[in-house]
Parts: sequence; C-alpha cells; structure tokens
Amino acid sequence: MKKKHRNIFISVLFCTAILAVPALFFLQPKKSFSEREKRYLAEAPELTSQSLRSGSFTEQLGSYVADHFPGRELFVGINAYFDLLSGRQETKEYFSALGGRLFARPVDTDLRILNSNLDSINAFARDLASTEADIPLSLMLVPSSGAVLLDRQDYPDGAIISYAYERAQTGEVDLLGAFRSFSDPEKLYYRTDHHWTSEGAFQAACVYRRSLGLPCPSREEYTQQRYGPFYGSAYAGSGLWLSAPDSLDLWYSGKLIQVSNETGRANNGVFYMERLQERDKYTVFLDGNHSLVRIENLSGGIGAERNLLVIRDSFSNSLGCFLADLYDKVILVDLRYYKLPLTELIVDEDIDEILIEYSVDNFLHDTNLAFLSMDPEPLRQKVEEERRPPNYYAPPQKLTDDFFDGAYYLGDSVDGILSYYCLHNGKLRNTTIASNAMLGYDELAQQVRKHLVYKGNFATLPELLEAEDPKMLIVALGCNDLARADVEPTTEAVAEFLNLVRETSPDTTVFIQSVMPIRVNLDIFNQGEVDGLNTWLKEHAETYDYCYIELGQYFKDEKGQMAASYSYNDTHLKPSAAPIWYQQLMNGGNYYHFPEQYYVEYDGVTNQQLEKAVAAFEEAEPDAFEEEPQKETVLDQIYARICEQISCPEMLELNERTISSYLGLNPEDFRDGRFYLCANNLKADEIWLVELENEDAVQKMMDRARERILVKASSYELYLPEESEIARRGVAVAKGNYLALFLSPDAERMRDIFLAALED
Amino acid sequence: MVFSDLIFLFFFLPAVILVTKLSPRSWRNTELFLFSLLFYAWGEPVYVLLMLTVILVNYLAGLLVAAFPAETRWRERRLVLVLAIALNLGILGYYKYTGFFLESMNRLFRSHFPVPEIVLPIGISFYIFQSMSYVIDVYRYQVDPQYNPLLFGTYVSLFPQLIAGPIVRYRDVSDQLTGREETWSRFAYGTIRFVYGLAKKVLLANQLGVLADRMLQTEAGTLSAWVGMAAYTLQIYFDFSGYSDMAIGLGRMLGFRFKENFDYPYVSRSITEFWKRWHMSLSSWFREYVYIPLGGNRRGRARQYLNLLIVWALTGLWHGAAANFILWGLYYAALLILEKQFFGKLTARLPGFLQHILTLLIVAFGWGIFYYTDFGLFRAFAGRLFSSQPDSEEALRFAAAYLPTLLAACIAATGRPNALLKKLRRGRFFWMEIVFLSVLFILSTAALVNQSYNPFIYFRF
Repeated sequence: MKKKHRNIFISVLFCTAILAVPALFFLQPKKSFSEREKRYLAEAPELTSQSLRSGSFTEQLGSYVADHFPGRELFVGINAYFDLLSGRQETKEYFSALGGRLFARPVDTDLRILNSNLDSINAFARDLASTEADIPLSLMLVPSSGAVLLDRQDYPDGAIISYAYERAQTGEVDLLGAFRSFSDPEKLYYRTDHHWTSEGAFQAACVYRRSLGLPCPSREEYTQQRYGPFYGSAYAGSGLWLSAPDSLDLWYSGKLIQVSNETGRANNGVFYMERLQERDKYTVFLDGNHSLVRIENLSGGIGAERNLLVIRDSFSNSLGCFLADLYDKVILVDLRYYKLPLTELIVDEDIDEILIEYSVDNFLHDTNLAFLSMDPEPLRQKVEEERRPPNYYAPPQKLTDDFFDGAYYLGDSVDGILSYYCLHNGKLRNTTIASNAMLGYDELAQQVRKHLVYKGNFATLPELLEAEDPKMLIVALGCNDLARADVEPTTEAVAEFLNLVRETSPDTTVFIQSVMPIRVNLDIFNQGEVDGLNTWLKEHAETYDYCYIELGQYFKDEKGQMAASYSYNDTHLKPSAAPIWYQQLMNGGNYYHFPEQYYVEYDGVTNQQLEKAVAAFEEAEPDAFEEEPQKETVLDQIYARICEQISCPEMLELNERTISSYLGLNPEDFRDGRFYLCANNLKADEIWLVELENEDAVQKMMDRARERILVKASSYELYLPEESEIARRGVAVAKGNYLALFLSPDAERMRDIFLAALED
Repeated sequence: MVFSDLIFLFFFLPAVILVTKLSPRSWRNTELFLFSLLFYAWGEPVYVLLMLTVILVNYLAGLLVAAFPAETRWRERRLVLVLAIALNLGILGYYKYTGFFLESMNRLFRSHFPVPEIVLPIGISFYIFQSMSYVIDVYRYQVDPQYNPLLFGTYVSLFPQLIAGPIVRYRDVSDQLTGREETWSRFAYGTIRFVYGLAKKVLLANQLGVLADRMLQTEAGTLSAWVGMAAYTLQIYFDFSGYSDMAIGLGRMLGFRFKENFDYPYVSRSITEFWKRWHMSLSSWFREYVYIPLGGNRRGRARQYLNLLIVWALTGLWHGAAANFILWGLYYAALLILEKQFFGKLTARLPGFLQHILTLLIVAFGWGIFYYTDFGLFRAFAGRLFSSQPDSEEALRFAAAYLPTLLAACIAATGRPNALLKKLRRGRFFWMEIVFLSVLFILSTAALVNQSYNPFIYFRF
C-alpha cells in the first residue's frame, strides 16, 4: 500500500469510528431502565437558559450520552476484561478469583456507622429486657463470601463480627466459624452474587436455631429443584460477562405456607415462581425486598408453637424461606422501608424470638438501624397479664352496695338507728328492714310467728318469707334474749328458727350478725355473756349453714365493752356509729362461712391492688349525718315553739328525701318537711311536720302517718310496752296543706301548739 | 469540554471535522472560532464572556502598539504594552490568586479579609499567557499585528490548545492561520498522535491516578509512599503529555503544526536536561518573556541566580495558587543553581544510569511537593519515605495489582516504544500499528464508557 493510501485509510478509519457512534446513538431506540444496573438511565436534559448557564445542561447531556452509548455493555465488558488482564481487576468493586468466582472487595473498616448501629441495638435490647418478656434477641452478622472462601488477611469480617458481638447485648450467631468449618464452603455462596445460596441460608438457619437450643431439620427432609441460569449482582457489577452463571436451588419442605407482604398480595409457598422469568432471579425468594413480610406456616413449625421476628437485610430473603418451615409464624422487617416502632408487631403477633440479621457490609454502611425501636410499655403490660394467675372464686373482700338487694333484714331495737342511717344515705336501698324491738334468739321462731312486721302491709315474717322467698335474710339482734335471762339461747332455739326459714323459703341464705357489745355490765347479763353468745353463733355457722358476720370488735373499747363514743350507756348505737356499722357490714373480712353462691370472680389482680381499692373505699365514706344548711321555715318555727313549751328528748332530724323514700311518697308532693325522732331507741318519740303541695298529697300522707303509729306501736309492743302505748296514743293532724304526726307523751299539747302556730 | 470525554470524541470532534472539511477554506477559521467558543462554553458557559474580553483587549492592544511607531512614539507604545500586561495579569491575578493572596495575608498578619469564592476559569493561565506573548511580540516587532479580530480570536481560543496547552505563541502560528496545509498525511498523523495521547491519558494516567491517590492519601506505609510517588510521577507525565499529544494531534488534523511540548523528560540525566524536556512551551515562555528580559545570565552570576529564583517562583505559582507550588518552583531554582554551580560537574562523571536514577528521584520528590497542598500531609509523606513504616496487606495487594500498569507506564515513558513504532510504520508490518491503535482506541472508549457504568448494587441490598 502506498503511503498516501495508508494515510487515507487511517484517516477514514478514525472518522468512521467517531461518526458511527453518533449515528448509532441517534438511530437506536433508547432504553429508560437498565436491567443489569438496576437503575433508571439518564433522560435527555431540557434546554433552558437556566440549565445552560449553570452548566447542568451540558453535565446532564454527558450522562445521557454515556448511559445510552451504543454497545455500552460490550464496552463495559471490554474494560472489565482489560482490567482483568492487566492485573488491576482485583482492586475493583468485584473481582474474579478461585476459578472465575466473583467476590466483593473487602469492606472498609470505618466503624462509625457500626458503632451507632450497635448503640441502636443495645438500646432496643435494654427496652426489650425491661419488659421482662422471655424473648431472646440474637444478632446474626453474615460474613462476605471473600471472608469465608478466600485465604486472605485483608477481609476484616471476622474482626468486625467479634467486635460487634462483644459489644452487642444480644445473643450471637457464629456463622463465620460454622461456614469455615463446613465440608464444602464454596457451596454456601453464589459464584456471581454476593448472597448466600440456599445451602448457606439453610446452614445459617440451623446455626441460629442451635444457638437457642432449638431443633433443626436435616437436609434430607427437603426436595431440591434447580433453576437457572442466574446472573447475580457481582456479575452485573464486575462486567465480566463471560463468567459462568449460577443456578438457584429451591428447597421444598412440603409444608403449607402462606406469605403476604405490605402490598397485600398473598402467595402460597415461599417461592415466587414468576420471578424466575426475570433477570434478577434472587427475588424468587419471598419476592425480594419488602418492608414487611408475614409468613404463616399452616402446617406448624418444629416443636412448641413459636413466632419469630426478623429485622433483616436481603440475606433474609432466602433465610426466611427456611425459617418459615421452623416457626409457626415469621415476620420479616426491613428497616430501610419500615420505620415504625416494633412494639405493635411484637405484641400483636405474639413474638417469641427476635433475630437481627445483617450482612457485615450492610451493618457497616446502612444507617437505617437507627429506626430499630420499641415502646416497652405495651409489651410489659402483656407480660404482666400473662403472668397473672388464672381467675378464681372467693368471698368478696368488699361487698358491693347492692349485695343485699332483695334481702330481708330482721332486727330489733338496736337496728333502729341503722335503718334510719340507711334511709338517710340511700344504703341498702332495696333491702327490706323488718325490725321488731323485742326479738331474741331464745324464742325467735315463736316471736316471728306471732309479731307482725311491716312491708306495705302487716304480716308475720314467715308469711313474708313464704310469699316472697327473698334471697337473703340477715338476722341482727341485740341482747333481748340475754336480758330475759330466764330463757338461754339454745341450739334448739336457733335450729328451730333456721328450720322455719328453710321450710318457708328454702332458697334464702341466712346471715347472722354478731350481737353488739354492751356499754355497762348489768346484773342480769354482762359483756362476757354477749361474747359467749357471739362465739356460739360463730362456731355454729357451718353446722347450721348460715353466714356469721362479726362486727363487735369495731365498737369495743379497751375493756372489751361498747365504747362510750358509740353508745348511750347501753347497747344501742349512737347515730355517729352507724357509718362504721355499715362500712364493716360491707367488709367481706367480717364474714364467716360465706355462702359459696355469692363468691366473686378474681381476675388475678394482686391482693395489693385490691387492698388499695378497699382503702380508697374506706376513705371515701362520707360523714353520714352532715346536715345541709337549711333556711329556717314555718316548720322550723313551729318545731322551735313546740320545743320551747315541751321538753323533748334528744331528737334526730331526718331530711325529707329520706322520709319520702321510706314512705313511698313522691318527693315533688313535699314543699317542706321536718322529721324528728328520738335519738335513743329506748323512747318512741317521733315528730313529723310537713307542708304538702295539695289535698291528695295531704290525704296520702295522713294514711302513712296512721300506719306509722301502728308500726311503731307494734314494734315496741313486747320490747318497751310503755313506749308502745305512747306510740299508740300518737296524734296525726292535718290543717290546710300542713300535716303533723306526734308520737310523744305530750302529743296532744304538741298538736295544739301546731294548730295555734298555723293560726298565726 | 475535555478531550477524554465521550461527548467530545463522538459528537464534537466528528462535527468539527465534517463541518470544516466540507466547507470552503475561507470559512474554516470562523467555523473554528465558533466551535472553540462552544468548546469553551461547554463547561464554562459564563466565562466564555471573560475569554472574549481577553481576546478583545489584546486584539486592541496589538493594534494600538502597532499604531505607535517605536522611533517616534515609543512612550505611548510602551504605555500600551504596560497597560495590556497589567490588564492581563490583573485578570489572571483576580481569578486565580485572589483567594490564595487573601488567605496568606490573613495567616501572616492575622487579618480577617473575607475570602471570596472565585471559580477558576478553565484554561485561563494558558490563554492569558498566549495573549500576552502576542502583544509583547508585536511590541518587539517580532510579528505583525493581526488586523482581523476573527483570526485573532481563532488563535486565542483554538480549542485543541485552549485549556491545557501547549502554550502556542502567536508568531509560531500566525502564518498557519491563513495559509495552512490540510493533507491526508497531516490528518493521519494527527489521528495517530491523538489516539496515543488519548490512551496515555485514559489508559495510563487515569489508572495511575487511582493508585497514586490510594497510596498517597489512605495508606501509611513506606512502600506505599514510594509506590505512590512513582505512580504520581508517571500519572502527571502521562496526563499532561497525553493532553499535549491530543492537542498536537487535533491541531494536525485541522492543518496546524504546534511545537512539541514534552520530549521524554524522564530519560533526563540532569535537572537542567529535565527542564529542557518537560513542558517545553512553558519553560521557553518564561525564558523568553521573563528570564531574558530580567537580564538572564548576562549581568553576573548573582543576578542570574536572582533571576532564576524569580522565574522559578513564578513558574511554581503559575501551576497553582498555593504555597506548595511556589515551594516546588524554588526547589527547582535551588537545584538548577546547585547543579550549575556545584554538583553538575560531579554527577556528570557518574555512570549514566546513576545520573538517570538520581535525576528521577529528585524529580519524583519534587512531585511529592507538588502533590500535597497541605504542608502537614507532605511532611508526613516525606517522613514515610525515609523511615520504615509497615504497609497494610491491602496496600501491598493494591500495589501488586497495579504492577503491570506501572511497568507498562515506565516503558512508555521512555522513547523506545515510539522509536519502535516509527520503524514499524515505515516497514511491511505497518498494519500492526493500525491494529494497535484500534485496540487502544477501543480500550480508551471502554474505559470512558465504564466511568458511567454504575450498577446500583445497593438497590439489591
């Protein structure tokens, strides 16, 4: 060839080369996404004066040309193989060794991110430990393939893993040791991908299980299917396009497994087979990366039911497939996408174990572990709930206010003040209080047959019991029997009474309240006898199947008698003692042989908590007789005038609310009302002064007043006959809308004063 | 734009060749001027106005200088020259040295001048020096002024030599601007020079740069320091001379003939020889426009040494606005003086290879000064060179992996391969060179394409 021809040839060759590229560039269709690089390629930049001036236009045009350069992958390959031939390839991101196996370069050992990741994990571990939940937390750091397979000192994975395990307050999973001692370590990692193979993931799952002392299946329990070709990330990163591909082994366990992730789509089995058609076949395992993957093993895991939470990177895609077989439920969380505290997952999914799985590379570089957090409180509560003993039944420690609803309360004169207290404060609202001042255990059966009690109309107790069959009967008597002296309470007498009750109303549960202590020892009986009676009642509760209520101790002074502050020199309680009585009546601790049908369910709340509740209840008890300030009305003036002229005994004032509810009257019928009754039950004195709305109300009230005279007379009949007589001579009078009832030795004088006052 | 860029190689260059070769000769200078402006504006869309200002100022200065005859109006003539030089140096000083100057002031006098952030316009050191040489040459009657502003603009902005030299004097190309020869032979030679230059830059300098940075910045061993120094020594040569080759090659394709800039400097056996072979256009510029006007060596030895110090301090400063560059210049001033005065005669008696090694060591150490703008880092580097520090296994592996590259670069830095290729070119096996060039071009393209190949591995986690 002539020299000139040669020059032309060289020139044309060069020009052809540099002209062919732009020609191809403009002619070829542009891809927008590079499968191999897993990224969107640059788009043609927009020409604006702004982008031109700032230089961003030319810069973007440069990336656009480079990204769509004709034969781009061919050139990348050429460059990779040139590097390989010139020896430099080993310094690249991915390099070829051990017969064409592709390795990632050793990670750089900057520990900054690693340390902060360890801090996050330790904070999480402390939160978890503070809940006292029995949830083991393990850290699994996956070494790179180079650290396992290459005999090189510059892979720091081992040192980094020991460093991390030393500092992490978690269980550790020694993969590096297990992998290095594995019979054929090359089988553990792909040749063209940085991930572990199914074999590697299986071994890792077993190492983890063994670290917790849990069983692991043998490889023989799986059937394997091989799919290929698989070109992994190292292949794409190296540019060594002539490398032999890998194949993917899918290990089938035959278990029935369902997988769902945050997209809401569910999959049967851990393998997403359609992914095998794609370039990145690694996504066949659990569909690749997802923020939250939920795997349910419908066939059940190995051993006891356990649920596992894995905080993970992409190594857990294939690891998860094996864990799925071993647990009943596996939740995989990828903190790159899942930023919420893990509390809800741990609590709601009943997590039993937590595993943090990261490759050494990601553990050194991924900062998303900062999102690892939990709120310990809900888990702590759950743990506490689970630790609480099962529910049980026992007598209530505190009776509810409606406990005695529908019960009959059979009392004597001692209970008069108590019944008023109850009326006044709305206690025992639905309990029928049927007192007769003379009742005593000695002849109770006879007495109740003979004497009438009042409930709407007059009847004897057996009649009432037979008619209504109340669920409970509380017997609360004083010492009338002891006072009678001639008749001692005997087993027979009590048994007779109980038989009477059983016969007339078999379903009624009987409660017997202790006899109140007495203030002064008398000739005929003393405190010793009272205590003896109570002891007897307590001892026989089981035999005769009643419930005994011991209240005496709350009213005794240091001498073992009724304290002066609670009584008027006898056995009757002062009004101020009534709240104590009521409070102790409601205290389950005072009951012996409590009827089982009224046991309450304890939901495992600790006794301490219950005691607290009781204390709170006791504190909240209101002062029973605190008077509301009232304006002085006509009725007050009348009462004042009566008391000026006649010496009344110490009287107790009841408010109209109490009376109206006691008498079954409509409170709206009242304009005003004053009710006084002798504070000491030894006198029958009682005064009503009422102003009513209309004639009807006056009529109704008058009926009640007349009944009242009869009831009072009847209840005092055997007890204090003179007082009964005074009651019977009581006066009920109405004038206009005013009405009065006077039970008093001076009842007639009072009536006169009343009428005279109304005249004025 | 730079030459080692896909857009330049496959879009700009074919466009230039197509347009200029297919249009009438009389249009070509204008076309080149416009292409050059586009070339410059590519990376510096705003500073193209600065370059146009420099062109205009020097064009007018040239006319004015010529308008005042030296015999009658030499005062005005000199005034214009002084003004033009002042203006040129003012622009260069403002854009290149303001930050350095103020920072030095602040450090020396503990003052607190705010330091403005001025982006250095690319190539400004080159086109200012070229423009100044034009005005001075007109003043000295060494060249006629250029009356056509387009032609003058074409000279200053001519893209092959615009941003990295060589510093082409106007008087060397003034004839070529109007009457250059464009032949197949020139084009083919230009192609060959260009591809060799491209390969030097992309296949050697860039790779050596990776090694040098790794060894000089992250590693801490003695061997790393030596390997890094060697790698940087080779990198800077292949980078710079590769660029000059591409510039000369491109010029040749367009019909221009630029002077050589490098002549295998690393075969030198003395410092004096080194500087006759290294960046020849710059050293000759300083000799012609600074050293000789200062009196050169004709005013006694003391004055000559002072002149040398001035010239080398300025040479250092020209390379960059930092103290280490001045230090690097003075290092050479001292060496050159010492060589002339004392040890030049001694070393001349040594065997050739020892002279060669000694020179290389001195030059390489000089590049160490040149590399580190931070004096503390340089001191640590020098400490590593001359004490025994252990190297990490990674460093050794890295260096070993680059051994073939280093060896290839060492061989390429001598004149042997070129002599061989020249012989080959004349003989029967000339086609082997064409194959070799094709391989180099493909590999260079592959390396450039690979720069954009970023598999998004993190996506896969």
